[in-house]
Amino acid sequence: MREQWLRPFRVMLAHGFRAAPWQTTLLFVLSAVSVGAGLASIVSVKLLVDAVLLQSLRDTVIAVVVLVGSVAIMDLANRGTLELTVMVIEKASATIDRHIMALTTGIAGLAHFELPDFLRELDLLRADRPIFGHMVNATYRLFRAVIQVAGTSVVLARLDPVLVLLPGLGVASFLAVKRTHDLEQAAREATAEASRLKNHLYGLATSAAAGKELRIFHTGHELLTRRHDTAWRHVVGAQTRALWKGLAYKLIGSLLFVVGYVGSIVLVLGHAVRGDATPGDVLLVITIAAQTNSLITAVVSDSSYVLRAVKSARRYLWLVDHAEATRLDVPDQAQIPSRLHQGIAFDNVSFRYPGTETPVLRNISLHLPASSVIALVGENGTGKTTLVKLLCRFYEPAGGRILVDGVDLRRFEVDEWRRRVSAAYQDFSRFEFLARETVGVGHLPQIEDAPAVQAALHRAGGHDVLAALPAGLETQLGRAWGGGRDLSGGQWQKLALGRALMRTTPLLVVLDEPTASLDAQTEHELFERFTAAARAGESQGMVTLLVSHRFSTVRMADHIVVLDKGRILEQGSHDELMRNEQLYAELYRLQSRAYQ
Amino acid sequence: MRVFGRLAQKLRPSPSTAGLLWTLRLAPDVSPPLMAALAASVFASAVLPVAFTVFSGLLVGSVPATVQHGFASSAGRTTLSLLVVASAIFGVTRMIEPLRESLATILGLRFDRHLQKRVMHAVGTPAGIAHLEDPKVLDRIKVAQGIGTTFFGPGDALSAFTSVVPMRVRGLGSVLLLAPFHWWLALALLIAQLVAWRLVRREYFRSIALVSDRANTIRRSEYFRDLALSSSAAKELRLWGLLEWLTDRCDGEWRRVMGEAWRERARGRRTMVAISLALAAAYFLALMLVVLAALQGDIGLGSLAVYAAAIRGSAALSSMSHADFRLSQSTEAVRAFVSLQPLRAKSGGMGHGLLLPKSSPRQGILFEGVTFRYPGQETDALNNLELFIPAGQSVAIVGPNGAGKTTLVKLLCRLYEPTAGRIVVDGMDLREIDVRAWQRRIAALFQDFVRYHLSARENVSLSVGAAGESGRQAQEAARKAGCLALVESLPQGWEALLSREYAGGVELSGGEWQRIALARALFATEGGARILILDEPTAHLDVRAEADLNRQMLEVTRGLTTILISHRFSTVRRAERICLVAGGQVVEQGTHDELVAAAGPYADMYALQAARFAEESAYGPSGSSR
Repeated sequence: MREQWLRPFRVMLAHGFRAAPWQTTLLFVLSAVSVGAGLASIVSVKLLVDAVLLQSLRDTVIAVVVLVGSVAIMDLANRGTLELTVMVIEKASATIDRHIMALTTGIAGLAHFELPDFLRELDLLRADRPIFGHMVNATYRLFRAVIQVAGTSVVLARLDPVLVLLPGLGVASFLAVKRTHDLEQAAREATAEASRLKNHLYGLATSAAAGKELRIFHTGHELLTRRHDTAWRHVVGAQTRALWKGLAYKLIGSLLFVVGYVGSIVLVLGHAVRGDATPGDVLLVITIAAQTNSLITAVVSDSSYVLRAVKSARRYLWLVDHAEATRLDVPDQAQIPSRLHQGIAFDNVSFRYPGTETPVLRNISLHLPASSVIALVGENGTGKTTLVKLLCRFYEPAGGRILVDGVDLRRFEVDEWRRRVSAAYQDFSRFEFLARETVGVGHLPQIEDAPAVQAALHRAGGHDVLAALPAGLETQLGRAWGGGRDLSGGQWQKLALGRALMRTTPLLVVLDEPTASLDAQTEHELFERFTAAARAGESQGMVTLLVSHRFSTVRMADHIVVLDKGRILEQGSHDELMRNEQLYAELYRLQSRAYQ
Repeated sequence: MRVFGRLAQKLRPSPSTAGLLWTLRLAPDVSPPLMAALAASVFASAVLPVAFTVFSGLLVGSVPATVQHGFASSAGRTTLSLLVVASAIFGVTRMIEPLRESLATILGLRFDRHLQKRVMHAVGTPAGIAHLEDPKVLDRIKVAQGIGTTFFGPGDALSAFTSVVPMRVRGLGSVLLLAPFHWWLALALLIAQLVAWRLVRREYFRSIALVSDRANTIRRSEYFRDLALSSSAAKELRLWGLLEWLTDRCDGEWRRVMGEAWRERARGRRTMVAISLALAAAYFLALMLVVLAALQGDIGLGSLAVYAAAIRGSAALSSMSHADFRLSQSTEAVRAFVSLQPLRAKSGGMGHGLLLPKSSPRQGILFEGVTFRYPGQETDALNNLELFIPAGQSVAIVGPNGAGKTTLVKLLCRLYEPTAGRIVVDGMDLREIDVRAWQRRIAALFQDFVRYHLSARENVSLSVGAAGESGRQAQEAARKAGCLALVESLPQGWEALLSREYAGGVELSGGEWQRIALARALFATEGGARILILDEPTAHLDVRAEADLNRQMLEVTRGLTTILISHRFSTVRRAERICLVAGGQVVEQGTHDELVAAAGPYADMYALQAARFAEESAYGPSGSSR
């Protein structure tokens, strides 16, 4: 109970309160003021009518002053509330966003990104983010609605205790509204796939990539429009049915309330005729009773909103707990050597992705000598990229150890180790920053240092990219941003390579298919620079690990490792492997045939 | 529609009013009966509350007489009949409200569907694709769907409109109720409320505009945030340790925008307080007039109750709610939709050009001094390009990144028209040929081929229902593309849905997708396309798969005029003719052997690659580790 409800509620409320302390306090105060003023305005109309009936000028003027004063106060309180509400949402959402950012990226490994459950939860959490900012608001609104119901009940009870039952009839309305929401929600869930499909198809039909195909393959446009329309029909049909059904419930709820309302008026009319009540009381009931329905609905919908927010907040806490549980402890911390003497060794390393059965790496024992260039080859899905990920500590080996100059990799502080690793991945990121930053993030201390960035980009063969940018390094990248430039795949790749060459003293450089979208000329130039960079790194004994499909590049490595189904099939120099006449020789010949 | 357009021009309404007019013009197309029902319920929920104010006031006014004479008297009967009328009005109002809401939601959904269909149609009409690469058009497409800078779609315009209108009508009705008391009081209150409305509205929208005008900056802040949450950037964020940097940027951008917005809002606060106080003073004066008249016996108790309620009710004229905001935003979506409609006029002369014989091209395709520059660019992508592609042959286009290879293909497909020069097919200027018929003659595998979330069959045939003959053709195309075994191994075979986002769907790898896309192109050739364009057909394939495809290339391209773009010599050298393109021009052309013999730039590029395969000891030590 505590863990399920209280903790999420408390945490979220605390986040909101901390993000906007005085705004939150003021919200609660203003709610109470607004409720009081609202009741006063209704009661003062009754007083006004009765005072006029009694021909009392003094009472009449007092009633008018109270009425106008309470209306003005309510008005001001509501305007203030609106502004505060927006501000609290803005501040609380931002604060919680920062927390989620820190939590998600704070998890050192990547294992969580492979778990479908985690991804789904994270998606939901992301979608729920706006709700967190509303927690404070839902709470104060619930608070306001509750005191309003209480106040209204007191006013009604003073006329006739039976009238207290009226808010009870509002419950019927609430049930109807809730039932409707459930129906609509169920319809939305049932048509979630159709909805996704229609959005996908609309996005395609209005994109340039599909625009090309749909013009060439002329039947495509009809196919897309038809499927889009079918999906829409499905969505509209299911939701319309739910809405009609819900309407029936709502009408029943309304009818019950109307009966109760008319009954109340009849009751108080009876009192008036008997002399127990004034005409002002009749007016009071007419006005105040009309509100009870919406009041109850507000209480219930606000409380269900709080409940929903609590549910989402549980997801947030789940992330907090998950981040805590997966924090990598370094029990016996070791210093990272300033230079490598022996190199990096895999000692009987095995690995399989979380939630899967088949091992990706099986008992890998491998030595990557200091100051060497090593190539990893193998067909798709043989574990090359996984091996790279283990070295970057995105995953921890399931069995065996990775040793850096004889020290277990786990004994290094993760962030510190990563500061000595540099990499260009196959699925590199297209950071839409200033060009200088897109490259410079590879070594944050030098991000402002334009000459250093330029030099790295030059080493990566990206000087021509720079020439194409109107403001050079200070050009905003990405067409989505005002004045931003879009780059081709090859240009992005060169920036990613530049990023990988920013760090000055890495112990390990990983190049995971770095030239996939570059042409032969560029690849050639690049490779020469890489070997030069690798040789330059000899002072700190840097290991360069190259993953590639291009054997012309691979063969230049000092040492080549051939992986097959998670095992090392063969390793050695190019010449040795060619003599070996196994997979390497076969694939090499397959590719080199183009040049014979 | 034209009449409306002209009217809108003449009256020059504010943007949001224009959007509203369009909504009202377009919505009835969706379903006239439902629209009529909605209009009726809007009318009822606007007018009935005013009627309720009158009858409930009169009911209260009749109470003193009934107290004196009892229910049985004529006064009592008046009270009872007023009770019945007021109750009936109350009851109907309460029933109409949910009906109006449901109708508005249903119509909103249908309206969205209707407009999306029309956007797809409009966007698909031009033969070229320049509009699809124009950021302004892309932005409007997003806005019309209710995403992008605004969050509300056209459907929201309907539901917001149907809750704003009754409110304003109620306010107006309340003011009118005061007319029998003193017409000038009604007029004065009306003016006061309208002035307040204008001021409140200006403040309200100014504070919204404050944020949405800076939407770009907020989006910027959100971009930094989303990077930290995405899985695609996860590796690099960790490797480079970017969390703190990203958070700082995210915060910095956010503070900049919000700080300004808050300061602006604080400035508007005084106006709002002044309005509230001024209105309170107006209410006070009006109420005092009413009350004094009642005390002097000029008006009865019932009138007092009605007038008092009317004075308060007039506030509905000037108060702003979330619905006003929704309305202003969602009419933006409708305006974006309207602004896309002129695209329908750009059909690119469909049905107007010459038709080529079925066997064409028989001689070939000639680029004659073709120059092309993308809209908004400062340099030419193609510069006076001369190229002949002989019919029935395969021509490979090679060249460095950004040389204009893909642009050349786009012009050939008439997705863009040349800026200067012309393309000639069998002696005929391509511009004179019916563009649709020409495009049907082409089959293409583009570099950025599309992964449709549809069945394998639909992904290959890109048409509705492909049974019988076309089923056989799909089979054949898949066989040639090397993905028949893959398709047949899927749990539902040809009907398998190719996306894991749907229940029972399957996910394909990049290489598998490329083969499906190749099958799509080959399916079109089975259906009569004579020109085959392959733009980097092996980009996603591994060594073995690439070798397989290269081996099949001859069979695949037999009898077709083939244009092949590739970086890979293993693919390129098999072409009957190779053109090296650089700087938007053809630098040299010929067969592989001719080009190698010519010892030009192609030979250099080739030699560079070949050297690394051939020369066994060209580079450094290749012994084991040092």
